[in-house]
Amino acid sequence: MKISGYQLFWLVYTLDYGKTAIFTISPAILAAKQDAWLSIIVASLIGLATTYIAVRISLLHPKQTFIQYTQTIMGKWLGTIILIPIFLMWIAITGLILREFADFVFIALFSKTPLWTISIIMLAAVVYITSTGGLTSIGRCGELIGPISIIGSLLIILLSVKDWHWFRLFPVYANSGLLPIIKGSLFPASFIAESFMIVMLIAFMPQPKRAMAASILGVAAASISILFITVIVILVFGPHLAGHFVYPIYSVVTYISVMEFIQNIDVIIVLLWIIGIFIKLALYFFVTSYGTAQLLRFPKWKKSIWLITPIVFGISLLPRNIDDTINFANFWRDVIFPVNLVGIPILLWIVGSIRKKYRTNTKTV
Amino acid sequence: MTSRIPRIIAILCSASCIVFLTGCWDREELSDRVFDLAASADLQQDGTILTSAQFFIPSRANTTGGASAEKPFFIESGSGHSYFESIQMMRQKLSRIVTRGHRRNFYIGEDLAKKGVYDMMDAFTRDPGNRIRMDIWVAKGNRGSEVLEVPYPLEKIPSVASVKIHRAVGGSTGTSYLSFLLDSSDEGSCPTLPAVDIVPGASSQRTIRFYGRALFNRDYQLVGYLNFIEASYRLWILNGLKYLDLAERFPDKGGGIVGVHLTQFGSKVTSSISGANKVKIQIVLTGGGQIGENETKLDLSKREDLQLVQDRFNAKTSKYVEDMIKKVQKQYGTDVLGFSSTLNRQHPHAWEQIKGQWETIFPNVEVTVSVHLKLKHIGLVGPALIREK
Repeated sequence: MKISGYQLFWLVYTLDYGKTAIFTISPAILAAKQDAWLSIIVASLIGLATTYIAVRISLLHPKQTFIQYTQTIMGKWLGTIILIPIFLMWIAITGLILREFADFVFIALFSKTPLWTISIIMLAAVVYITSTGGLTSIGRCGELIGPISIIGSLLIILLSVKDWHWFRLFPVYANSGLLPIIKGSLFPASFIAESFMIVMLIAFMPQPKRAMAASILGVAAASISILFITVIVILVFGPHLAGHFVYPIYSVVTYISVMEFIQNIDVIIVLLWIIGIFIKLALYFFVTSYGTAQLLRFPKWKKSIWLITPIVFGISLLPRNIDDTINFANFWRDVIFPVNLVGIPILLWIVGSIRKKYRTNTKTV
Repeated sequence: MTSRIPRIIAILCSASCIVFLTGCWDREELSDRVFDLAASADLQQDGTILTSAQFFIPSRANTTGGASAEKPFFIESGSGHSYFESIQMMRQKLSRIVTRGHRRNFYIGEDLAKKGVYDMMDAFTRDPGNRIRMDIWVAKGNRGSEVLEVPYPLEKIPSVASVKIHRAVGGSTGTSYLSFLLDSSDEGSCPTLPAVDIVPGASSQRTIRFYGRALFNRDYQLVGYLNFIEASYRLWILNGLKYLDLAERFPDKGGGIVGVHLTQFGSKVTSSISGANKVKIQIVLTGGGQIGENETKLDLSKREDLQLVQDRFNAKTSKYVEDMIKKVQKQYGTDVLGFSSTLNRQHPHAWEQIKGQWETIFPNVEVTVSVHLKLKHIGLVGPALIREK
């Protein structure tokens, strides 16, 4: 299995863009009002920093995945202990993305179809792509789907132009202040930091040196898209209303009416979102399966798919209502994000680079 | 072995696609649905809510050759103690499932509007079937259900008429629901809705008229109306006007009327806060347009005569706009002119201090208005042809 730098760029882009744009804008606007775009900029910087660290630790041992080099850096036992929270996170988030996908499709399109049917169809597609081609197929899909989602987003931007009211962005900073802006940035930041997943992907790149540029550019492109979406939501709905919509960008799209002719195009955004979430889910699913196989020393990694599939499906059925998924999102922001996506990578980076330096030093001596 | 498993999965997946794709599971067929084109809510004397809706009859819609005897719609209603319950009561009379995606108009009866529309708006915002792009109207001096029943000769579906009238008189359509929500969520400002009333038409028939704007207070209760021209001035201040006709009498120049047709609008609102909560607001309105009629002895092809007309219009219109603002300030005390958000934009820190007392400050805000019209064309004739006789 191989992926190119170009594919990595699109994978990071779709991974970071879709879900962040739909889920995190509303909490950011609720906290920072019309200055939510400043929050997104702060979140992007945090996301870029975590991505930078993730690439740096991967480049310490470019031929190994995260599972392997954690054990190389920290030793077998300590490495395994560190991997456990990361591992739980991957499994949990795979199930929850599946659930959030089903919830959104349920609300937006199929309000009478049983929820598990929607999840199973998506899960079947994800299992299929992972078991047949693995990362190669996911990378190819990313290459195709990424540009489509950009075109779709541009379409939304263009069609909503006439409903923009620039004065809704003012006054800048005065109504919120520094603390609300930072507070508003944490949620999007915790989602953008999901690009941490590249620690499992760089090992599959024939030219690992391209990883840094591809990942950073991917995160930057996704951040810019999210920034645009945030600004548009505020321009159309103003800060007070936008914070109360569950899916504000979806509401913007339902509001679009061009010449009384192009209307009710909300199905486009549902479609864009579904194909975006497909990539994200497939990536998580691949990473979890491959990681499990490496951790449990399976001779053939694809065997672990059959172990992961039922677990993921089970987790997707767990949340009783949208409250539970929101609680998990808060848990993600308050615990998982600082520990798994910031703390552990920094620890690994420091220990790993010291060891590497020490080793090269002893070699030269 | 390794190549067979994916193939089996592929076959299984495509087989399951047949199950999922061959039918429409969730969406009802068109013949199971009824389209709600317009609806209304009213407060009845016993305190219950009456909800009525105009439903589309597809089989009668395609009658060619103009007006057919059969109307392509029917009206059904239900009453209950809450907005939601009344809809349930109405649904008991319907053979099909109601689809609201095409609903453009919702009329609120005056009694209900006076009592307050908070509960109704809550039910509204929760229902995902309601489009954000919708117009909500207040039926001035009437019940909403009566507006639904008034026939309109030009449109097959009468409820389409009020939207088209609204557009034809220079307002924007599909925005009143959203602007109601925006205004009521904005600190200090009060929401408004467009208003229609029922007037005797040219023949014995009654007809719908676009009346103006209904003003609500912060408790979502109707407090009063602005008539058509006042509502246009308000829209001018808020930068939402598309066009406007003005007419002014010139008693000193032969007593006739000069009418102007304005198509370009600009508005600049500047505010200042001084000392003890003394707020001053300065409004500069600009407009561009042409002469529509001239019944006076003025020769508008002459520069000074045109200037005289412009000056007179500027002075008079400024006064009218000021009168409208005074009416809003003193009579209703509701900030429907966007002053609060202007203050927030221009003096965010001072606004933080005074926003709690805005309701008492607003009626005493000192407002100055100046209008600057530019009449670019005088029509197809120079001096009025009538004078040549």
